[in-house]
Amino acid sequence: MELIERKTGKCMIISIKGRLDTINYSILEKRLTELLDQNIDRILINCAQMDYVSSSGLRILLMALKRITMVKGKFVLCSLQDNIREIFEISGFTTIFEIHPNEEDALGVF
Amino acid sequence: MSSPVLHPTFTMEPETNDEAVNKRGKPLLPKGGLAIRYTRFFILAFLLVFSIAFYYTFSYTRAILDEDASQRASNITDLTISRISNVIRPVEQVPSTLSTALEVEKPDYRMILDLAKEFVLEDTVVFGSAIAFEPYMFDKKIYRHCPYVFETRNTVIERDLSSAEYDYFNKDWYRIPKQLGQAVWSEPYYDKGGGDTLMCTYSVPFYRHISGKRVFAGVITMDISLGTFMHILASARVYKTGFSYLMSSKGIMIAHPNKAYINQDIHRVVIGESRSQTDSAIRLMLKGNRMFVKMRDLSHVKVPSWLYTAPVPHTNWIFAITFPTRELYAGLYDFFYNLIAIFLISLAAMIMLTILITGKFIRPISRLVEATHRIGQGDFGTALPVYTSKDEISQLTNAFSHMKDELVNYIANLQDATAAREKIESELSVAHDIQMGLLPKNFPARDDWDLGALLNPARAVGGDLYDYYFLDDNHLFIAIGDVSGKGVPASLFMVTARILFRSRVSLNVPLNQSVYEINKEICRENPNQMFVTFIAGIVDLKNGCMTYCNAGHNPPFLVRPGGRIKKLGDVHGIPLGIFEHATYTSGSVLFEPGDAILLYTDGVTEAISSAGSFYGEEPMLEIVRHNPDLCPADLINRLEDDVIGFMKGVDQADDITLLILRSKARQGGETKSTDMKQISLPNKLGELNRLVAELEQTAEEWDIPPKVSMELNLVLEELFTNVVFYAFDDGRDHDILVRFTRVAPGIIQICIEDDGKEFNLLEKDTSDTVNHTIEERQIGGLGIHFVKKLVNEISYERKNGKNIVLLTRNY
Repeated sequence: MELIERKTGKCMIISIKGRLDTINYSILEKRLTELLDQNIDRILINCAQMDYVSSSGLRILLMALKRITMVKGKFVLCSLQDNIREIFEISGFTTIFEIHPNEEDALGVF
Repeated sequence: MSSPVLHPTFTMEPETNDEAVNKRGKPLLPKGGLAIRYTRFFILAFLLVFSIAFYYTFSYTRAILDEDASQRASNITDLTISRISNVIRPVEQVPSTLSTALEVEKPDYRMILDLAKEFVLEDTVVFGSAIAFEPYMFDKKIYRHCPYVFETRNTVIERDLSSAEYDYFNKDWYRIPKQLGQAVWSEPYYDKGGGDTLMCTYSVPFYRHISGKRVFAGVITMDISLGTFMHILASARVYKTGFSYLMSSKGIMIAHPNKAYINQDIHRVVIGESRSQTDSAIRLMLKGNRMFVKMRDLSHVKVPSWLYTAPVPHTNWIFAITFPTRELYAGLYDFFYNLIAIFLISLAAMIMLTILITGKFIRPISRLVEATHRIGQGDFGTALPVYTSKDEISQLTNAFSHMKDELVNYIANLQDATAAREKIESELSVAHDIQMGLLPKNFPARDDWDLGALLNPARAVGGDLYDYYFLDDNHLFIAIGDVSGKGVPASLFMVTARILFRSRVSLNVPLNQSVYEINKEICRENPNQMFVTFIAGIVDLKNGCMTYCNAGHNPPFLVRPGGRIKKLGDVHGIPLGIFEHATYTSGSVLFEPGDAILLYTDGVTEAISSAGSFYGEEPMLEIVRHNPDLCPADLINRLEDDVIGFMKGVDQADDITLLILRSKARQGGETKSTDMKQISLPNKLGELNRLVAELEQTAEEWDIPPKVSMELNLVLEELFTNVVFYAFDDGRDHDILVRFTRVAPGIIQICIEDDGKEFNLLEKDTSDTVNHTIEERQIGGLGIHFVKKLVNEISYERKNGKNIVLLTRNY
């Protein structure tokens, strides 16, 4: 898994590339915790290149969503692959997360 | 009490002893027997002693004989010399007297001649006498004058020897006394023209006083016939052919029994081989030594002889007497010939006596031998000969009698012991039957599985075991074990182990846990420190998965169709009974249709041939490999025959135990090996990558769409991580088995097994996981939710201490 960060205005864009699974979820967890600790409360996760996500990965995303929601920030996902989207649907995460089809749409909400 | 089997043990070899006893049972004299040996010894000793005595006696006797012969020869010599002297003395005295008469002024020649004539007539020896004058001494006108009187036919004839032909002045009898001036005996001579016979002459010179001077005037002689001495010598004989002779100091033979030798030189008479010895003897003899010598050659009979010589006094004659030693010793030889004859006769008598006496001494021994022989053949009723004497034979008999009694007792004891042993053996036989009865037999006929097993103990009872029984309809327990040692203790230990397994193994307890407890139990009650190597396995008859635990036993073999062999070499713990706190793990193996597992004990692989080689694993595997059509029971019999054939001529050293379980090839829709994949993963999170890789490869091979593949990936990850995180809390390594099966095109089955804590994910309620708001959502439980959502079928089973999750997914 590879994390690519980019900042546009007030928003931090993190692109996840590869598999997000039990073995490497802690990398994402560590990074998100750092950002949240720095009071960054606008984060966009671009999932265009994320091939796979396990429940461990989902738990990190859920953890980040909870913390940002508590500080009235915004945590948005975009560009989910179909397979991944199905996983989100099965897990019911589509009702919890704000998910946009592409990055432009997502940036519009910030 | 009679035990005919025992008799041959005590039988001596009858043939050797039969020779010593003839048909009447009387002992003969065997070669090398005591009688012969003693006799031989006695003969030798006797010969030696006799020879020494004989030699001494012979030498001594001969010395005495020699001494006696010397004495006798000396006596005869003295006697003969005396007789010769008696003859000679008057012959010497008369002319000496007459010569005195001739020295007077005017001698009466006539009277003197008459006296001589009278003497010649009277004396037997003297046959002639001459008075020979020097020239002109008788008469101044007469040149030579020599009147000679001689006896013939008892009358005395007188004639004058003085003639030109008979020049007496040059005759020895005249010349020598004239020169020496004394009377001399002449050498024997033949007086031609004088006496005309072989004679010796005694010549005495006589003198005349002319003008005051004593002048040699002539010689008066006495002729004696040598024949006279022949008579004397003829009486001087010793022994049979002994004889004597007389010779002059010059060695001229005067008298000799053989007339041809008379007047011959002794050197010519005596012809010997050793001239030097003869010459030296002659020299000594002629010097006038009185001596007694043994001469080899100084003889006329050419045999070794004794010679005695002595000089005759007054004369210069030598007397000799000789006789063959043979004759001297003739008596001695005769005596000794008789002695030897007596000796030989007594020797023969002694041999007979020795044989008889030793035979008599030996007879009791022979009888004892006979009795011993009969006793040896088992006839203990045979009475031993009785002796009242206190000798060694009696002692031997007593000792033997004692031995016989001891033997009878010993045999009785042995028979008792044998009976006791037979009893134990019959009890052992019962024990054998019981042990064999404990072993399960006749595996029920099934379509899917078949099993055969065998235990062939090396002794009546063995320390090996095998076992199998159904834990439930779908689970079969199989086991094989080998107790250290053999015989009754091992078999009892084996029964204990078997009972413990039967009582402890259950589907509700992991197999390794059961083994752990069984080991603990065995260790607690193991005073003899025995142990048992063991393999226990639980086979899921439905899916062919066998969980097994190998406690230090020989590795089993999985023989697959086509002859592929897989050695199940992993060992899960030490043999049972060694260490109470030993822990055990377990392994698992999946039977594919046609697979057979071969369990065996080292009695098979370490069977020893008469050449000393081990049977090994390979022949066993070859038989299993090449007989896929034989049912396990027949295969086992084939293996047993092969091992026993291999051990031909050697006692079976160890129990032979075999167990074969085979999964039969299923009818139709057979699963190919390419439709099944299995991976065993340690409980490490990092192993997830391997699992994913395996899944992706399987998905590619089986044309599983990426979406399905990803979803299965998710499911496997959730299940795997769940097991890794939560199933184990003992910090040990465990294996997680994941098996993919393409049960049909478009249907994949995944089996995940772990031996961790029991966890039935189906009982976990995840129904409301997705309906909560963000605040209500719990972290966790999501994975299981995924699993349930992403597969078509899911089942959970807790079996043999394992969590088995079986998933089916269509694609």
